[in-house]
This record gives sequence, structure tokens and C-alpha cells, in this order.
Amino acid sequence: MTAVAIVVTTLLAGGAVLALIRIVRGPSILDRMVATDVLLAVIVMSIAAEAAFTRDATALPVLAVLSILGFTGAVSVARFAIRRPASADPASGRDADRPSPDYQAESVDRPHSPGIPEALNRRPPEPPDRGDSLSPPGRDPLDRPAEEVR
Amino acid sequence: MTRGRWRDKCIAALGLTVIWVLLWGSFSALTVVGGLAIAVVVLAVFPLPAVTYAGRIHPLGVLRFAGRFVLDMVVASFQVVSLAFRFGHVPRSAIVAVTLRAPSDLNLTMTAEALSLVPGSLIVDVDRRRGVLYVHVLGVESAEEAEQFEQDVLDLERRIVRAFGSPTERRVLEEVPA
Amino acid sequence: MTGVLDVIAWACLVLGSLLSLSAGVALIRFPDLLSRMHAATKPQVLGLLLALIGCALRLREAVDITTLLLVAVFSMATAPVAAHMIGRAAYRAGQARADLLVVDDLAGADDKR
Repeated sequence: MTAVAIVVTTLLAGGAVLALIRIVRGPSILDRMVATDVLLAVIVMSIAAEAAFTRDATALPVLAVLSILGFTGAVSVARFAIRRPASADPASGRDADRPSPDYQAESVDRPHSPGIPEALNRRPPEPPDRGDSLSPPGRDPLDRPAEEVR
Repeated sequence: MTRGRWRDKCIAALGLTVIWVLLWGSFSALTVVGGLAIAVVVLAVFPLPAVTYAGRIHPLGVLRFAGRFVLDMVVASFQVVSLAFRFGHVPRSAIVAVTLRAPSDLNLTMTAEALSLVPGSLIVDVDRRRGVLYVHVLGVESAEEAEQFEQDVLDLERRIVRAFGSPTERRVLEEVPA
Repeated sequence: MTGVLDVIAWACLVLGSLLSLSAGVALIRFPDLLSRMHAATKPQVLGLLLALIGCALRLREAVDITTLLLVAVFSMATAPVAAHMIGRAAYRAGQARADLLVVDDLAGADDKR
């Protein structure tokens, strides 16, 4: 049993260290967020392993909190790492066209650059009635125009 | 408000109550009543968008879907592991557009969730209006493999519709060959 | 009987932590963000499930197992949403490296919407 505990701890620690290296190296905030997600999963796994080794369930509520927290963190970073389209905020329009250094480090030329195409700014028409799916009319919070990573 | 809407709300309240009871870890009058009260308040303050479920749950289809899903997850996990440990090899990938044949919101969501949970495939974008999923697939070396993957997604959709779909969706799937 | 359950629990824990290590390796080695995200879904789903199963097999109390079940359901329901949000932001920011893509069906489609 002690041997198993040592093996499991070593493997989990290895995973955590590698995730930490990726968090430090970046290069963009999204990379860091993905690595943080992995780190969080490793933390949850190690708490679960600890509970399994000691047969002590005290830490289990922490797991429930952590599993929700990771999601909240990832979604808010993905949303706030994104800049509003330039047309929505004329003051920062000039700034939004200039990619940040982080972003330039890994970007490649694409046929449609992340500079905001006008076509994306239009809200798509309401979905047609599709048989038995009753999609609610109105806003789709996920359906937002083109974005740019800060 | 129609009757279907009421039924949805009742199911949502029941689900929230079950979560509350599970969180407390004890089944007593206090936790059940308290959970129910909190569920009603939560649903009144944060109303959910209407997702009307017109299908029926087919136990055999659900079992087949769940079994295949677990198998997929294990196999795909070890594929990604082997890719990670193949040093000196840069894995290539593809973004494949898959047009679902039964593009109801529920079917779209469930297929996307099942795909995301299996390592090796990742939803990059969704065209809800036309029912198109844009899937990023890891470890694809040729266009043929990408086509093969599209076929796999359509098979997954078939299993999901057979498990949870409505009669209309089943008919659509039988008419359009995979 | 308890001995067998313990052995299965150990196996699950070792396998789960092995998956987390390989996720770390993939996180370092894979070339672009979208590929790395595949590595991230792996410990969060299968590794986590294995660890939770191992934990449940050791604790064997109804109260604890329901908590573990909740953790499993929470993370399985939320992981795809988080992954989708990040993946979408990454693609729109041009972080998907075109030279690594064999097929890119989204490249043309994005402008039509």
C-alpha cells in the first residue's frame, strides 16, 4: 500500500509540475488557462487519492467545490480574455486592430484574419422551426461577433 | 404558459432538489423541503430557456450508447497518450465540419457534449442554425481520415437519437442514409 | 472481498495518475493550443473518473459515494462547455496553426455566417 501511495504521488506530482511549466511558459492566456485546468484536475485527483489512502472523507466537499470552480474560472477567462469588437467601442477601435505581443508570438497568416469582418457583426436570422425543437426566439449569449485575445 | 413548460419546470426543480439532498448527504424531511424551496426560488429568479423535449428515452438505446461511449473514451484516451509519448513526432490535426441530420437543439448539445468528453475531438464552433459542428480532431494525417471521422460522428449521432430521440428525428435518420 | 476491492481501487488510482502525467507531457510537447486542449480533456474526464472510482471503492459509504458521484457529474457536465469556450476563442484569435491542419472546414465557413 505504501508503494502504491508513493507511485501515485510521484505520477501526480510529475503531471502537476509539467502543467506548471506550461502555465509559466504561456505563451497566451488561453494556454495558461488550459494548463490551469489540468493542474486543477490533478489537484482534485490528489485529494481523491488522499481520501482513498487514509479512508477519511473529510476533504470530499472540497472536491465538489473545486469541480465547479474550475469551470467558472475557465469560462470567465475565455469570456474576458476576449475583446469586444472594434465597432462596438469606437474609442478602442484603433487599439483592437493591433494584436498584442503574446498573440503575435504564435499567430500565422490566415485567409480571414482576426481583424473583425463586418459579416460577423450581423446577428444571424432567427433559426427556422425545426420539427420538434422549439428554440426560444431572442438572444443567444454564445453567438457573439468576432473576438480577439488580449 | 403551456403544460409542457410546466412539466419542464417540475423536472428541473426535482433535479435541483436531488442535487441538494446529495450535497447534504442525508435524506430527511428538512433537506427535501429545504431543497425544494431553494429550487423553486432559483428557478423563479433565474429562469431557464425553454428546451422542449419531445422524445422518449429508450433504455436499450441508452445502454448501447453508454457502453459505446465508455469504450470510445478509454480507446481515445490511450490513443492520445501514445501520441504524447511519441517523441520527435509532431501530431497533425484537422477541423472537420459535420452536418447533423437531426439538428434539434437537444441533439446538437448532446452530440457536442459526447464528442467533447472523448479525448481527441474538440468542438471549435457550432452553427446552430444549420446544425453544423466544427470539430477539431487530433492525430489526423490525411483527408481520408478526416472523412472517416465525419462518419464516426454521424454514427454517434445515430446512437444518441436511438437512445433519446423523438419519432420525427428517427424518421429523418432512417430516410437519410449514413 | 475487501482485498479484491482494494486492489481494483489501487489499479484505478495508478492508472488515473498515469493519465495525469501523460497529460502533462502532452501539454508540454504538443505544438499548438488546440492540440494541447485535447490533452487537457483527458485527465479531466477519464483520469478524474478513475480516481473517483478508486476513492469510492476505498470509502464504501453511501454518503461519500453520492458526493463523489456529484463531483463526477459536475465535471463531466462542465468540462465540454469550458473546452468549447476556450477552443472557440483560440480559433477566432487565429491560434490554430494552419500548417498543422490537414483539413480546415471552418476557414471558409466563418465568413458566410
